[in-house]
Amino acid sequence: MGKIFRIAGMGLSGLMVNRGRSALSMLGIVIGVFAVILLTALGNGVQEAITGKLTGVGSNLLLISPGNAEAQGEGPLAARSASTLTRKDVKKVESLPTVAAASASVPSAVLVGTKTIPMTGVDPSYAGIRSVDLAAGRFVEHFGEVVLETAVAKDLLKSGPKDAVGKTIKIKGDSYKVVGVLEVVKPAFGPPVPETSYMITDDALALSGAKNVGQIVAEARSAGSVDQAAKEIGAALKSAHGGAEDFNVETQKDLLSVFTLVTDLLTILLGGIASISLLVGGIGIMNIMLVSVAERTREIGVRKAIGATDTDVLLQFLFEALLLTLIGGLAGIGLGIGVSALLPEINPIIPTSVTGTSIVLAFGVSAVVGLVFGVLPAYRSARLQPVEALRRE
Amino acid sequence: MLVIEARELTKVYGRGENRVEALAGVSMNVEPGEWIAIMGPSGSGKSTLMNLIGLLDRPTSGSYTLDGRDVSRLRDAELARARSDLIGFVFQSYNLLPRESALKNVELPMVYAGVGRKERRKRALGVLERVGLAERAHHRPPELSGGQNQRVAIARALVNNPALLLADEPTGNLDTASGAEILDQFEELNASGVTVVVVTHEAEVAARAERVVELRDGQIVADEPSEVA
Repeated sequence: MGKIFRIAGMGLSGLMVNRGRSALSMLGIVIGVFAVILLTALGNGVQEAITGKLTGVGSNLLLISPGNAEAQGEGPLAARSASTLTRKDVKKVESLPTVAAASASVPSAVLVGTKTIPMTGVDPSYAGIRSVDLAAGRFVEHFGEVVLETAVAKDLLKSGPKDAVGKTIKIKGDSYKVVGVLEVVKPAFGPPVPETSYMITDDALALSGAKNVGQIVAEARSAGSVDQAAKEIGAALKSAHGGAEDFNVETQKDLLSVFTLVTDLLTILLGGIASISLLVGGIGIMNIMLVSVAERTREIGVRKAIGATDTDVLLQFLFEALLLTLIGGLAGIGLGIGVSALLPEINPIIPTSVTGTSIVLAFGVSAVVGLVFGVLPAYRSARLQPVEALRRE
Repeated sequence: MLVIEARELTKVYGRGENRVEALAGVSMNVEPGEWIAIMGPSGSGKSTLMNLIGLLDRPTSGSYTLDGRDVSRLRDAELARARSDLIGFVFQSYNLLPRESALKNVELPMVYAGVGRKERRKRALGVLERVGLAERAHHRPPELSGGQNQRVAIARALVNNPALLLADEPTGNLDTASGAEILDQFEELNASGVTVVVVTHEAEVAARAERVVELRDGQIVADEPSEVA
């Protein structure tokens, strides 16, 4: 046992006295681990950034409309006189585990002065679900508030978005405070956002005299859970409506398929990047270890001539390789995490995201390659008769 | 008890057309305390014989008893053990670890023999003193002269108190003066009871030994007391 420690100590002092060679071997491992972590961090960052953008577009969106099948789209044209969806249904949908948020949508048209404007009654969560962009102010949160379209604000109040906020408009004799003005809707990827102004659901129901909401919009927790959410919503509403399937749950199927195609491609790309960097790192480590052991065949011969057994020699090389891969691996991890954190600081366009998997993978593969190619050639040399090992230069 | 008892040792390299018989049946005895030079031109098989005697290689056939132990059928680990216990090597090119100090180099055989740290240090300094290099203990081989390097190698060979000191052309890389010093060293060690076997092709080296064994074409052609001795 004591001998093993002495041999381990010898391995350590061997690394210390041969600083140049040790540093080079370690560099191979550092670069291998560093490359894998950084490249996968970049790949992951890009994937997350793109996934985030696509999610904002509305791939997680679910539309629940009254009636069955034919009702399509959202907005005043989809309004139904005989809606069966209630405020309770909205709460029910919102409480489902796969649903992140839900809002009622009550399409109507209101008369302001002499002008009729499209107006939709929604819940405050609607802004998040449909990624509503505001040019000024905030989204509706309370009774008696409205958010106007830019064109409507200009038309009714003769003012730009900023000046319109804080003014009031009269609808059927009641005053409504303008709390926000919408950004002009740009044509974008995803289901069309209706051109309408907004007020709180209950205000819209009171104004129109309707009891039920026109539609429910809901957001699934993730693109992957959209189908599950649609199923759960269907089941929940069916039981709430006494078994009647007097509604229709619509998902953004086309959008979803594009979405999953992009993320799948990114995953493949990421896997490719990771495997190539692993391969490159592994070959680097392999080369440096092979060379460093090969040039020590004579040393192995000397050690054997003065009484070292094959096992003694192997233990020494195993210990050296272990230390090299450990120190090099840790340095590589530190460098990889450090640079991954630094890149977005230098240029915020570059997204990076270090994952635990890539660290474990990079370190694991480097350690195995380092050990195998540090010990295997040493094993071969150790098995030579000492006279043959001594003959090598 | 004989230090070396070799019977009909042969060593064959290669097969078929490439077959070379480096040793063709060598038998010899070495008594404790002898100083023997093994001589012969290159290709005579003297290096092969020295490798077999030193347990650096295995014979193709024949038997070999070293210090009363039959070592011709040992496994690798047992051979390593026997090298550690029974033999001290001195090579032509010293074969020291160049980046370790003289002291560490001398301690190395004791690490493999399982000697404790304090004992190692003590014994290593002791043998370095014996070869006159105590004050150079912390120098590395490149900082020492050829003669000094060879004396470090001798110290390393002696440190485990071997039954046999085996030297392969120990003066081959040295100038005449340093070479003479090394031979003085051997003489001194031999006088104190160490059995010394030197392989050489230099007549001056052989002249210092007590007994000269001459090899030619893998066979012993002469085995007689040195003319000078």
